[in-house]
Amino acid sequence: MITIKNLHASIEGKAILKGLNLTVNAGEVHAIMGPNGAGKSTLASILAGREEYEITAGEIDFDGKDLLDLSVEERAREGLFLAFQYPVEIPGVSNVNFLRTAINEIREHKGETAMSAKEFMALVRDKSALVELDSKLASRSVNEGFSGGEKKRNEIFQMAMLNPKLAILDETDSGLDIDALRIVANGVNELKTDQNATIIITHYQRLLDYIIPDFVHVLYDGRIVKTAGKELALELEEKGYDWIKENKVN
Amino acid sequence: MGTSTKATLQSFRSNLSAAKLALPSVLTAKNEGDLSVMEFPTSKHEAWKYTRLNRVAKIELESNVASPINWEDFNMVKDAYTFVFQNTTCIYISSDLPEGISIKIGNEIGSADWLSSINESHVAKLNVAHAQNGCVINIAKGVQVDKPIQIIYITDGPKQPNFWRNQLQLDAGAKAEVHIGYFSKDAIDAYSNVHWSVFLKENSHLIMTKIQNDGEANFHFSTENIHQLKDSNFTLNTMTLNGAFVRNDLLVKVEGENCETHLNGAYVMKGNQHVDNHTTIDHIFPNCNSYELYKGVMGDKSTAVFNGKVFVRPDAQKINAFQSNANVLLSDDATINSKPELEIYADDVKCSHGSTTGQLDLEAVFYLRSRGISEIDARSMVVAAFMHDVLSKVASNDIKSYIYQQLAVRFNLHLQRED
Repeated sequence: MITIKNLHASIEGKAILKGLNLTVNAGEVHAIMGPNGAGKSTLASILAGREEYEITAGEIDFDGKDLLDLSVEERAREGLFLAFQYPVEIPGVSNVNFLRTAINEIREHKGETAMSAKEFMALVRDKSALVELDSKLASRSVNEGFSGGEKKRNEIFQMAMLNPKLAILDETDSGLDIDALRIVANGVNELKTDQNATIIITHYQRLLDYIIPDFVHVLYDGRIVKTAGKELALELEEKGYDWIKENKVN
Repeated sequence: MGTSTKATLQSFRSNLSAAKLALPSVLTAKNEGDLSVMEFPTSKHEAWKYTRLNRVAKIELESNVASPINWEDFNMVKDAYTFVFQNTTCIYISSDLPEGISIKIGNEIGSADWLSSINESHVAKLNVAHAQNGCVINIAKGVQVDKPIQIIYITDGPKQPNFWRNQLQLDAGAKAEVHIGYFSKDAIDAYSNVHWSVFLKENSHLIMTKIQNDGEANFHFSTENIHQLKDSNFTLNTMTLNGAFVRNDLLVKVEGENCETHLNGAYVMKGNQHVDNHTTIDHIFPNCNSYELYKGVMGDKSTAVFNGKVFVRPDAQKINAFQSNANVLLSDDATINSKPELEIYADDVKCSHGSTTGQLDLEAVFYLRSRGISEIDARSMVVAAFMHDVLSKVASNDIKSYIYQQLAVRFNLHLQRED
């Protein structure tokens, strides 16, 4: 699905990623954990196509395409989805109107015909139920006046509507209470198939109680320094990140 | 250059014909004398601080002989009582006017038909001196006009000067919707100067919408003097979509209690375009509300001026006056000068004003793009969202569609109708 090789990236001259390697296959869930400042959100931003980062070396292959060659919207149309850590409020742009535009631009890109209004509304009903998002919220302005939990559920709602090949959840658990966490996790689990993949970026282990990863990676100082199964998350929760740092230094 | 601007105003006038409309002596008596010693105002004049008239002063105006056109090319409203001026000629008059609306055009208007409404600006004085054509409309007492009245002005030909003078009066209890469109054809360096005096008698209700869609190389000056008597309700939507240079001077005198005044303005500019909105709401009587919302989007090297004055006279207690001007600059070279001015001499009033200027919300654009929407559509959606509230104030669906269509053509801005 996605292969990242030797990725180096910097912002304003400061190196953040320093030779990151990662391979994610269809049907897999990967968790990327790590201390603050390790480069977790930078990785998410670069995958989504934020332009403020400079890629100084490395390559990213996304399903046979050179991801770094694609614009932000082309990546989305090819099936990449980022659930934002801080979803943006856009007063005046209705959630469903913009999603309909997005879906139809994606379909046009794939050479498919536009979705009918009826089909679209049925999809909205179906997918908003999945994340228990009030259908009134679905038709309001994007994230305007939403609570923290509603914003995160709206991210997963959008993910469900767009049905991506690869979803990247950037700190989706931050600011969620336990009920919202369960709802969000349930949504992600329901959407999982053997054709798609998920990368969960998180500082804490608790989301991984609900979404069971196949692999856990530790990102430290711009590189993945340790990879193991789901038990690694528990070990990190118990011991913190210091033992990784020490191991790294030694 | 030490050239006197006084000479410039006179040379600017040298090719202009004297007024053809019969105007009352209260307007004309001093006018020529005043003009003969007047200069084009410079940036030293507060009202023209950010709007330079050099480009206007240099134009050598000349009248064109216009060839016949199909006015329907400029139509904005499907079903309306329509009047069309092409340069100084009235080329179309709706024949189906109902009882209760009277309209006089050009030489049908006698000097006694003009009510007193004086404006001291050089623009207004030029209008008095050179008014070639126009209309006087009266809506009789209690008449609710069943369809909108549409007046279309077309400036045709290069360097064409057009001076139109108009008056609209709503008698007590009357209700009307008037849509006015300013357009041009085959025109560059054309100059249009339009004056409206509007009188709302007791308990009358008027919605006026101005569409300013002159060509990109033309100069347009628009003056509105509004007089509101008690219990009247007035809305003026000023929609500036095109033009090299557009100046709007609005003066609303609220001369009675329990009035409502709504001034809405939208301007969308690009290239080197310049738009200047000067508005004054003069609260002379107590217990009135005024609401003013102006919003602009400025691209490229375009410039805009907003100057909104609100006067609350000493006896005008219990006034609510709200004013807001918000701008988005799409480029580093675009400029807005925004200045609210409140002068309040009464002590029991609620007045507020706010002015904001910002860049397009790029985080919002990125968010939309990350869902698969093209950059151009994402930007357009964010701009449209910004303009949405002011455009939604335009009550007429035909006019709204017209504006949306123009924004789509000129700016690739796609607004979604909610209804």
